[in-house]
Order: sequence, then C-alpha cells, then structure tokens
Amino acid sequence: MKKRILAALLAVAMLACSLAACSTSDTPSTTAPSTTGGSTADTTKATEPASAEKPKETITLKLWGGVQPEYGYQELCDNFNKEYADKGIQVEYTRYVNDDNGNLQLDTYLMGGDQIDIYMGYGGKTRLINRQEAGMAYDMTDYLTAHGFDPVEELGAANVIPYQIDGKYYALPTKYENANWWLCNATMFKEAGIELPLHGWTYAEFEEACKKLTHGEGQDKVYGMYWNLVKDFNGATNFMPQMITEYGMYTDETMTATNLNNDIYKKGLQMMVDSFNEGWGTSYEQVVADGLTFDNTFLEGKAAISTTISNLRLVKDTATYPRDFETAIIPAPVPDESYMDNWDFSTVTGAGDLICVNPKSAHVEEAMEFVLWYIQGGMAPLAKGGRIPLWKGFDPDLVLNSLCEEKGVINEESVRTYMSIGRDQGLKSYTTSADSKIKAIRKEEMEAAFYGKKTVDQACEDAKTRADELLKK
Amino acid sequence: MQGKRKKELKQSLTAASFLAPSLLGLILFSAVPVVFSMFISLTDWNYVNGIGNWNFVWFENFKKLWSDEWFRASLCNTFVYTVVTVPIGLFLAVVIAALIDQFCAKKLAGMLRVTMYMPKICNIVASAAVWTMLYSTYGPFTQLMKALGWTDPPRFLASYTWALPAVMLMSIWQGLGYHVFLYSASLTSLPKDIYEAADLDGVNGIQRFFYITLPQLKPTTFFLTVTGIISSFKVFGQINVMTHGGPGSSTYTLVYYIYKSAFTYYEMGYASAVAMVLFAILLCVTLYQWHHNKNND
Repeated sequence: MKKRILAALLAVAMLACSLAACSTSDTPSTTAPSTTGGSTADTTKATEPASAEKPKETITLKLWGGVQPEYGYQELCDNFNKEYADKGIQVEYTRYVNDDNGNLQLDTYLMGGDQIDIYMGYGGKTRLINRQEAGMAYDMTDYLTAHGFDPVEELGAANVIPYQIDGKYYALPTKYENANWWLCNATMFKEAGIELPLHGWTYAEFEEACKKLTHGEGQDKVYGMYWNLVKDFNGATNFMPQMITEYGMYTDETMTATNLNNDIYKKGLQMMVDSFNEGWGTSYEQVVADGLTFDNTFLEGKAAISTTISNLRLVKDTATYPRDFETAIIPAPVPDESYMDNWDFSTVTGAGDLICVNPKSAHVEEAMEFVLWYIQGGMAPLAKGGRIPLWKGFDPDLVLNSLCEEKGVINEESVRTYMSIGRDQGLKSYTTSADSKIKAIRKEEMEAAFYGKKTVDQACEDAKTRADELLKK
Repeated sequence: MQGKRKKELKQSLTAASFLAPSLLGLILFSAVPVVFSMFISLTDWNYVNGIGNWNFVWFENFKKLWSDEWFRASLCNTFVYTVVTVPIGLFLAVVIAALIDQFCAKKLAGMLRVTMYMPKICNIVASAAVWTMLYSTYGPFTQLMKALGWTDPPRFLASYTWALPAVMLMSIWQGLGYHVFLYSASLTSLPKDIYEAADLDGVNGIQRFFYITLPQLKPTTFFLTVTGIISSFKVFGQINVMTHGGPGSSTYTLVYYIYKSAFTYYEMGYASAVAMVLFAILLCVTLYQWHHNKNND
C-alpha cells in the first residue's frame, strides 16, 4: 500500500514539475540578464501593497539596455528614482548583451508581453523596422506632439529623419556618435612627432603615420592600426565610401542595385589589405586567430589607432583598464585631397542608442515621461561613460567636462573638435529587408580580399553581383 | 475474472501516470515543434511578427536552398565534418579502449577512462574557448606544432584550409572519452574462450585485434556510428564559439546556418526549410538503424 501511495505521489510530483516548467511567470527567470536600478528599498516599495498614507501605488518601469550599469545607467536610474519618488514612478535597469543572442532575448521578452516598458535598441534601422512591424515599438508621434517636443528641432533633422518610419517616431536616437571617427593613442603620436589629424587626413598621410608608429616584433609588436574586425566588422569598415554616398549601400532610391563595386570603396579595401600585407595594421587573420580585441590591443598600448568609437566607454574606464597614455578622437582618413571637403564625415548620420517604448507596457504614459526626461538631461551620467547626449539643449561644456574630468585620459581638444562638427546633414535612410544578408555578403567578399583569395577588384565585383542577385529575389 | 481486469487496469493506469510526464514533454517539446517547423517552412514567417503573421510561399524556400551558396557550403562542410570525425573518432576510441583493456591494471584503467570522459561532461562553450586559446599563434598547440618541426604553422582557426579540421580535432577529442567508455564496456563482456583458443593457435596481438576484437565489437561500432553521425550533423556549439562559420563560409554547418537564418536574418521560414533538410537526413540514418536492428533481432 505504502509503495502505491509513494508511486502515486511521485507521478503527481513529476506531472506537476512538467506543468510548472511550462507555466508562465510574471518575473524574469533566473537566467535573465542582471538587473539594477533603484535601491533595494525602492524596489521593495514598488511591490508593497498601497498603505493608507500612500494611496497611489508606485510604478516601477523596466528599462533594458545594452550597456553595463556602471557606465552611467546605475546613476541615471538613481537620479530618476530620487526625482520621481513623489510622483510614484521608479525605474529599474536590466542589461542585455547587444549581440544576436541578446537581441533574441530582448525580442522574446517583448513578444511575451509587458515585462519590459522601455528599451534601448541598437543595430540601426533594420532592427527597428523589424520591431515596429512586429508591434514591439510604440508610436510616440502623438505623445511628442502633445508635449511640445519636436524631435527634428530638438535632436536634429539629420539624426531623427533616418529613423522615422512612414513619418512617425517609433524610436528616438539619444546618443551622438559618428562611427567614422576613430580613437588614437595621443601619447604615441606626440612621441613620434606626429600631429593629431584633428582636421582630416588622407590615406597616404594615414599610412605614413601608421608605418612610423609601428615597431617591435612578435608579442611585443606595436601596430600603427588596430582594425576591430571581429567584434565590430561593420564599424571597422564603415569609413569606406559606400557609407558616404547618399543612398548608403544602394545606387539609388529604388534600392534594386548596390554600389559595392564603386571605386572609392575599392580604394578603402585596398588600403586595408595593404595594411595587413605591409604589417602596419593588425591583419584579419591575426585578429581572428589571436583574439585581438580593443581591450587587449589598443588599451594595452599595442596599437596607436583603433576603429570603433563606441569603445570610448572603455577608454573612460581607467579602473578596469589602467594605462599611462592619453586617447584622442580623430577622423578616419579619406582617399585623397579631393575628398577633404568631407574630412569630418559630417554627412554621415551620427545618432544612435534608439530609445523605444513597448506598446504592450501597462505604463506607456509613464514610460514616455521617462523617455523625455532621459533625452532632455536625464542621460547626463552616461557622458561620464563616454556616451555623448544628442539633445541640442545639452550644455557642451558639461559633456566635455564629464568626458575629460580625469586629466590625461581623453584629449580635450580632440573632444572639442569632434563635438563641433556639423550634425545637420546626414544620409537619407535607405533600408531593405535584405540589408543583413547584403552586409554578410560584403563581409564574406571582403574576407576573401583580406586573405588574398581574391583581388580587391574581384571581391568588390563579386560582392555587387551577389548582392544584386539577392535583391532581385 | 473481473478482479483480474481491475488489476490490469490499475497497472495500466499506474504505468500511464509514470509515462505521462515524459510523453507530455515529448509531445510538447519535440513532436509539436517538428510539425510546426514543417508548417512554417512553407511560409515566409519572421518570428518577431508573432504567430499567424505569415504568407504561404509553399515550396519556394526549398527551391531557394539549392541556389544559396551558404546552404551549399553548410551542407558540404557538414558532410565532410561527419565523414572525418565519425570514423577517426571511432577508430581511435577502439584502439585506446583495447590498449587500456590489454595493458592497464583495473584501477589505472578506471582512472584513465574517467579522465578521458571528462571533456564529454565539460560545457561545450568552455571547451571551445580553451581550444580557441590553444590554437592561437602563441598558444600551446601552435607552439607544439613548431616544436615538432612545422616551421610556419598556420593560424588554424583563421585559415580557410585549416579552420574546419581544427574544429574537427576538437570534436574528436571531446567525444573520444564517451566512445572509449562504451568500447571498454563491450570489451569486458567479450567471451574470453575465443582469445584463449586464438592464443593456442599462435595468433599475435594485431591479428587478435583485427580478426577477433573488432568483429565482436560490431554492434557497439554500429550504435556509435549511427549516434555519431546524428550528433555530427547537429554540430553547432564549437562552430559558434570558435569560428562563427568563418573565414568566409569555410566552417558553416547546417545547424549554424539554421541559427543564422533564423536569428540574424529573421527568416524563420527559410531556416525551417534548412531544418527540414537536416531532419530528412537524420530520419534516413535513423530508419537505417531501425532496419538494421530489426534484421539483427
């Protein structure tokens, strides 16, 4: 009898476990990304039942972003929670990793319902369109109009128009970042007697400087140029001219053909291949095989210049990456003197960190209130972490002081130059659903050129042929 | 008579209650996804659009596969990976198992088997990360190759030629312990009288291995071949960590391409079509195994 009871209990328990595993939960699972934000007391307050003295229940907004909380988001949340404590709105930050897996996780949570109220999106308009089509992005247009916030006026036409969808705002860019500006070791430049190219330079000047800055052998070798090709392939190759042309990767507004074989583009690729072959730049093979990253190469003084300006946040983090040199922000080189009109890449859109609201959120109004607070000053702590606010109302000196507060870490003059470049031009936004695949084709053909399996000409022509065929399908 | 029926019914119910959780799991997490995958392979579904937001393209996804360079590369690489890793892995395992069985004392043999089994229980991401370091220019593997006289070894994981073999080597290493374990278990159960008779006939060690041991291990070899083929076709973790399919598409495999299509290009319908091809291949292998087992029975 006892055995039967035990067997029955076990069977029930197993069934219960199976069903429990399938059930939904209001709270993220233990494998969810780390959460930060309001103090423990704040979070507790949000979950406590309303007392007699506190008729309004505290709302805790869930904010998801791809940046570590210590790079400003923790402070930002603390500031908001303090400022909005009386209004009964709090915010809690969760970091997700901005890669394919992290974005999949974000999408899954957004599809699941209202567990996220606000999120930061990256990866340009392609991802935004996907989310908008899937009903994961709230149409902010009416709210912004009702609250007198004109994004074109406040953030700059060149920055917001590329992210409009059918003239509506499903996301607002918040960060100013021109990916065609690079980072350099200003101390190395000074020691080598090379002036910082703060007002532009050509490929020839760039090559000459890199060759001068390259020295040493084996593991001690210092490279003139570090190409961040594994972690940020697109960012590392963005300086190439297809990004400067008006229609991005496409030849015209019909988007039926690509311009991946244009001459200017070929020149950029040839310059990269030369840097590998002549040894003044980290080769693609090296970066892949030896796991060369921005952290273990540029920040350790093993390269004088690096792509990927978004790594400014790591440059600011001297506690994790202690070093004895100053970093400057410099423009990427242009093919020759005839392109010097656009030496500062001011025609390239420089906006990122798209703030979006989940339309399924139970607190859309409060989330929008947070969005405007964030844009109009709330994101100031992020400047300390290397993120420059896009809003025109920001005091540039405040940003400058935040970025350069620690002497000898970031070159002040370079930051001034970087912040002074025009932000009112910009690319028109041309995006198709084939963007991701076209970029994958471009990457594959560029790899073939990097490895010498194809000539630069052949790789560019093949990239165009393959991408155009894809567009036809 | 009624009492007997009642007892049988009770027994059946008890059995069913024990089976129910597993059956439920199988239906929910295997059968339903397979059927759903078959369905969406006929659509252009982008998963972020939610269930129901799809257009039927019928067999368009399957037609597109054959003109897709990435799919062809994935299929080819997966076949090469399987054809190389399964036989080499099994051959090494049977040799090592036989050597352990023949020359090692019981305690030492046990220790060796457990040690060799460790990679199997290690997380694939951790193992792949360690092997990535081993293969780096200044890593121990590359240095070992240099010490062995290979003056200018390639950057294994960054080479079009060597990246896939490098991943294969890591996979063979990872599966070796499991294979040795199973072969060792089979070896200990082999009848000793055949070996005694062979000894009396003056058979040497190599002859014993090839003419007695190997034929008797046929059922184990067959089982490991089939499971090895199935797991080789599903290779993903080491590719995702060590090479990301590159350089170019030199290490793209079917499952990696399914992942890329679904979660990078958001083409869930197309990814499902690739998954259906994989399913068909694995189904053939499994049917062959069933057929073989049935004949043996």
